[in-house]
Amino acid sequence: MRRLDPQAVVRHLDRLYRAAWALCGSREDAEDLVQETVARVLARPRRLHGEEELGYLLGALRNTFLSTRRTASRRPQTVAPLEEVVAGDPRASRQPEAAYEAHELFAAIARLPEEFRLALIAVDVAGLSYREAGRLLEVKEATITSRLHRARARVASDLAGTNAPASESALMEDR
Amino acid sequence: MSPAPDAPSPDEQRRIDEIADAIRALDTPAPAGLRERVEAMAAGASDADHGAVDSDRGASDAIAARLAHGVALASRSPAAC
Repeated sequence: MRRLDPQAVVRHLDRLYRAAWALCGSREDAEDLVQETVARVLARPRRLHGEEELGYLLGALRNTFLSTRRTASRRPQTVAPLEEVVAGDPRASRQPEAAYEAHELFAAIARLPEEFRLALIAVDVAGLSYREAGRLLEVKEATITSRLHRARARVASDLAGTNAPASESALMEDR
Repeated sequence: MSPAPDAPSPDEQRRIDEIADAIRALDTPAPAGLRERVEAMAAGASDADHGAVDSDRGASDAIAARLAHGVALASRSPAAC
C-alpha cells in the first residue's frame, strides 16, 4: 500500500479533464467536476490499495460526478434554450469520412447510458486496460468488452444520425 | 459460419472502428486556468505532505489550509472558456 502523490493529479490532469468532459457533455461542467474532484482527493492523504494512480483518480472523478449529480437533481430543473439544443446536434450533413470534432464525440459519449459511458471513458478516453477498467467499475473484463463494443456502436449510430437504441437525453440525465 | 443476426455489417463495423480510433485519439488538453488551479492545490498538498507536520490529523489540517489557499488564488484567475 502506498500514498497517492498529490502531483498525480497534475500528471493525469489532461486525461481526467477529457474523462470529465465525456461524463458531463460540456467543457464548463468538466472543469467544475475536475476541480471538485481534486479538492476532495487532496483534502486528506490517500492510500492506493494496489490500483494505479489514474484508476484511483478516475474512481474519484466518477464518485464526485455521481454525488454532484444527485445533489443537482434535487435542485429545480432548468430548461436549455432552444438554440443550444439545435446548435448542439452534430448529425446534420455528416459525411462518413469527415473528421470528428472533439465536442461532437464528447457529447455523443455523454448521451450514452451510464454503464456503457463509464466503460468507454475508462478504456477509450482514459486509456485504462480492460483489467483496470473492470476493477474500477467492479465488473468482469468480459463485461467491459461487451459494454465497450455496444458503447462504440451506439456512438457511431448517434453520430451517423441513425437513432441508436434510445439513450437518456444528455439534457435530462446530466442536469 | 454465418454472422449473428445483430452483428454489424462490414460498413457498420468500419464506422465503429473509426469512432473508436477517433475517441482514442482525443488529446484535448485541460484549459490553462484549470491547470493553474490544480497545480496550486497539488503544490499545497505536496508541501503539507512533506512538511513539518507528522500526525495524520495535523497533515489533514495543513493540507486543507493549503488547498483553501490554492483555491483562493485560483479564483482570482478564472479559466478562459
